[in-house]
Amino acid sequence: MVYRSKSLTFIRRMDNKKLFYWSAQVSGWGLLIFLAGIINYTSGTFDFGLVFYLLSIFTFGILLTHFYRYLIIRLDWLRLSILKLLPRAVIVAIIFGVVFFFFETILIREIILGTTNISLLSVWNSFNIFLNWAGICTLWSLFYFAFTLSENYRKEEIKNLKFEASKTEIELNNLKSQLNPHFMFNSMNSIRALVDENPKQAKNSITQLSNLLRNTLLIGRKKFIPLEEEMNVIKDYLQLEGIRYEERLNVAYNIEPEALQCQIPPLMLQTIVENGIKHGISKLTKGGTLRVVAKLQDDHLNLRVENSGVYDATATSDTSIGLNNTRKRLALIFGNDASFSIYNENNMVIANIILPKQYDNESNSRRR
Amino acid sequence: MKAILVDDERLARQELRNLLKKYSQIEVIDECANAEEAIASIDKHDPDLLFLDIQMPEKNGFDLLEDLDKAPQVIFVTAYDEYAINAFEVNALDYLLKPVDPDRLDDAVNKLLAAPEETTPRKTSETKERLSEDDQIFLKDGEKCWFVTLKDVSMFESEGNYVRVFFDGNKPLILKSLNNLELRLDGRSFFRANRKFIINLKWVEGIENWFNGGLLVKLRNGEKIEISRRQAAKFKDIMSL
Repeated sequence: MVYRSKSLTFIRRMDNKKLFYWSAQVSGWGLLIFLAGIINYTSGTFDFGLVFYLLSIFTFGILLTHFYRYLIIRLDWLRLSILKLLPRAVIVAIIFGVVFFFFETILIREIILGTTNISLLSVWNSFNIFLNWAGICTLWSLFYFAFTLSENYRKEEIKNLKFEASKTEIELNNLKSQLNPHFMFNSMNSIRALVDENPKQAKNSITQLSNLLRNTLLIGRKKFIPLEEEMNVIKDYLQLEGIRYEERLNVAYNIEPEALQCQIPPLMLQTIVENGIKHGISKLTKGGTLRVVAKLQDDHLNLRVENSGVYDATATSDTSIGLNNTRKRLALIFGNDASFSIYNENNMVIANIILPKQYDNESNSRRR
Repeated sequence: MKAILVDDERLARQELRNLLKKYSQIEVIDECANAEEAIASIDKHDPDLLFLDIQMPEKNGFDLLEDLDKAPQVIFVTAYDEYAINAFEVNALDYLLKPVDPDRLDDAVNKLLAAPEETTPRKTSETKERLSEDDQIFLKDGEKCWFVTLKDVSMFESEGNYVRVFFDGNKPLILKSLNNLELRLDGRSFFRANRKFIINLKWVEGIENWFNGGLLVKLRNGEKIEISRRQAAKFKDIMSL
C-alpha cells in the first residue's frame, strides 16, 4: 500500500505532458519491436536471441531518442522556424541512422548474437538498414515536433487570450470610472446652480465638462498619449471639482516642462487624481490640498499625486480594485520597468507611478 | 413648514433653495454643510422637514439620521448612489435625484403637504422632551432602512450595547442603551417591563400573574414578556384607572 501511494504521488508530480511523452515513447518503440517480433515469429525464428535483440533495440531506441529530446530542449530548437529546424532534423536522422546501424547491425547482430556477417552485407543492404533507422528517427521527430509545436502554439494562444481578456477588463474598468456618474450628476447640479449665480462661469463649466467627456472617450482608446494631453483632462476635471468643493479643494501643479512630451498610458494619472478626490478631499469636512507632480529622473518619469487624507491599506473596497488595476495595467505595458506605490506621509496620501521615460517614436515599439 | 437643507456643496444647497422659492408653505430656516452642523441645527430649530444629501464627509446622511432621537420628514437629495437607491426602493422613502427635476420636486412637496395630520407630527411643546407615539424614528440595518412611527413598535429589547427594535416583523439593532431610550420615551406609551425589555402599552393584549409576584404580559404580536416584581406594582398603577 505504501509503495503504491508513493508511486501514485510520483505520477501525479510528473505533469501531464511528461506522462504523455513517456507513454508515447514506450508505446512507439513497443509497437516497433512488437511488429518486428511478429514478422520474425511468422518466419519461424523465435528464440532467446530474438527477444534479447528486440529488447536491446527497445532500450537503445528510447535512450537515444531521449538524448535527442534533451538536446532539443537544451539547444532551444522549439523556438526555431520550420526552415531552420528541417536541416537540423535531417542531420540528426543521418547520425541516428549511422549510430543505429553500428549498434544494431554490428554490435548486437554481428558481435553479440553472431547472426549477421558484416563482410557479407552489400553496400546497398547496409545503406537500406541505415535508411530504415534514419526513417524511424524522422518519424519520431515528426511526432515530437508536431505535438510540442502545437502544444506551444496552444499555450501561446491561451497567453494571448489572457492578455486580451485582462486588457479588455482594464479598458472596461477605465471606461466605467471615466463615466463616474456620481461626479457627472453632481457637476451638472452645480452648473445648474451656477446658471443663476454666475452665468459666465456656468458656460465655462459646460465647456469643461464637454471637453472632459470628449477627451476621456477619445484618448481612452489610445495606448499612449503625451503627458500634456493627460494634464489637460486633469485640469478640466479638477476645475469642475473645484466648482463643487469650492474653498475645500486646493489644487497645485508641479510639472516639469520637459516631462510634458513624455508618452504615458492614458487616464492612469487621471484615475489616481480622481481617487484622491473621492477618498481624500471629499471625506474631509474642511477639505484639503491635491498636488500633481511630474518629474524626470534619469531614464524614468515620476508621476505623483499627493492629497490630504489617510490611506487605509487594509480597506478592501473598490479603491483597492482600482489600485490593482493600475498595477496590472503597468505590468501589462511595461513589465518590470514600471511601478506603482501608495503610502501616507505627513498627513498626506502619496500615490507614486514610476515608468520608463519615452517619447513618441520610442513608444511605437511598445505598441502591439 | 420649517425646512433645513443639508448638503456639503454650497452650490447644491443654493440650487435647492432656488427651487424651493416658489413654495410659500416651505420656509428654509437653515443650511448645513455636514452632519455635525446639521445635528446641532436640528436640535436648535426642531424642523419639520429635512432635505438631505447622502454622500457627505465623515458622517453620511444615513449616519446623521441614526444619530437623531426622532427623525423629521426627510426628502433625500442625491446624485447617484446605487446603495442609497436600493435602500429607497425597499422602503419607498421619498428621494430626488440631482440635478433636481422641478416636476419631481413638485410631486414630492405636494405629497408632503397633502399628507394627513398624523405624518406631520407637531404636537404641543410638552412632547418636545419625550418622544410621543406619533414621532418617527429612523432605523437602519445593513442595506435596509426604515422610518418607523413609534406606535408601530411593539417592544425594545436590550442586547449588550445595542437595542433591538421590533416592528412589522423586522427587528433591526440601534446603537443605544435601553436606559437612555427609556428616558427619551413617553411613559404613557412605553413601559420598562424588566432589565431587558421596554414594551408598548398599546400592544398589550393579555396579562397573567407570574412567579414571585411578577406579571406576564402577552403582546399583540404573540410575544410574551415578563414584568419583574419591582415593576409590577408600577404597571398595575398605570394600567388601572
